[in-house]
Amino acid sequence: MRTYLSEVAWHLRVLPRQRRARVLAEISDHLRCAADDIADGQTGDRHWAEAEAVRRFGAPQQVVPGWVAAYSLDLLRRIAWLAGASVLAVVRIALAARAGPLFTGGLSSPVPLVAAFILSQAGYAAVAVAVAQVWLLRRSAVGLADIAVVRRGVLGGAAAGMAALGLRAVALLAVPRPGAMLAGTAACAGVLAVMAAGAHRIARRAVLALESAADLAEPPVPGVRARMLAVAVTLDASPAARLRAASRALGMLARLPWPVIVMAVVALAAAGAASAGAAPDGLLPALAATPAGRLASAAGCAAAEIAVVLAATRFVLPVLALPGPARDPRADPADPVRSKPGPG
Amino acid sequence: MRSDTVRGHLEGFILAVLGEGPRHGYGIVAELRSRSGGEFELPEGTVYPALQRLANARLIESSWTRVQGRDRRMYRLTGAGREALEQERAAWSRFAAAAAAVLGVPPAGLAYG
Repeated sequence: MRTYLSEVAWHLRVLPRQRRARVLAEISDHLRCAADDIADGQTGDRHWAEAEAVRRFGAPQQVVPGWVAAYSLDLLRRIAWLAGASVLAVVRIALAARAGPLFTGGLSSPVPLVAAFILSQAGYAAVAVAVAQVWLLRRSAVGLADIAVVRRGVLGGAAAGMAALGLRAVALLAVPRPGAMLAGTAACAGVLAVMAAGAHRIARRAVLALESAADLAEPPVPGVRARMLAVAVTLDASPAARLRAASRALGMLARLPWPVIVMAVVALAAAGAASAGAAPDGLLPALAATPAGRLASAAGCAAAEIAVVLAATRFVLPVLALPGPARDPRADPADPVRSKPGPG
Repeated sequence: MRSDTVRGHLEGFILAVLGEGPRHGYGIVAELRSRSGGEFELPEGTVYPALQRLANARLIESSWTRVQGRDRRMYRLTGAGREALEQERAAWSRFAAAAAAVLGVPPAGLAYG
């Protein structure tokens, strides 16, 4: 049993030390419980019972990728969320600092509106992450946990969006041109609503796929697990392999899913409408001098935001999830751990 | 039964076992084996990543206790997990009834609602 735990510990080396210790403690407890049960039911040969418990638990190569993948997926969700939200928050704060009254209204303190921008962008990023996750899982055997994560992303995004809208509504009272603020608020609400609806629609498809007869009669190629395995492989990858995965991920940016395209169009239209109502506060005075210029500047801002969200979600996720070293002759995609040298 | 088939529904099975009360990993495995009459054969270690995924999704939560000098992690359902379990049961009932009708097999024991 001790040898087995050492072997598992070596395979789990990509996990942080504390998490690895917890996993090993859990396995140890499991094996001892199993050995106790087996020994009670048999001749009481403890050594044989422990060997049987280890056999039933499964070979390290069989069970460890699941742990690594669960950890990796959790990690990349956090990374995608943080990247999307923080980058957009910085962009929004920079815009607020530069543009003046459109963003700060008539308030002496910009804090409530900056908070509103951060919240709205956090919501925007949360929904975008959820959409990206659903898109990545679209042909997979989707599990309850995946669906719960997507739903949480959508709900979190909607909640942040609603809070942002509430703050902006309060700020309306102090704005010299309420029409402009109202247009911006409506635009934000529209974008969030469309994004949430798109994510929800795809999530519904995922649920339907889960319930399909094909899933039960003959489980499809388990896409989620294949991707998890790919994550495990990528974590062991060399810097060059990660670079190859990154370049492939850049290629994926060119193949955007239809919900993202719809969202982009709606966001552009909404931003244009909002900008047209706030002409003098355009980012560039020369552009703000003509309606076409105002529309172009607003569209550019919206497009930049969307690009940042997509880069933060669709770029970060595939970099970690693509099977970069799968073409490496030393690596066996079916068994990423065994291909590495053992501890001795 | 093929382990792939079991794995495809493992998360729902785990939620169902935890619906009866908190259990540790081995307790869940033992209960799965007992309830399935030994039909569900899969490497026991594969249950833990599924538990991790459910925990990441906040469908279950866990805490550590000390039992007989050993650290033991106990799992229990959250409110969201209970809700997900009910949805899974409802979806499974609909699917099983439809599949039974197509295959010409009388449905039995589908009283989840």
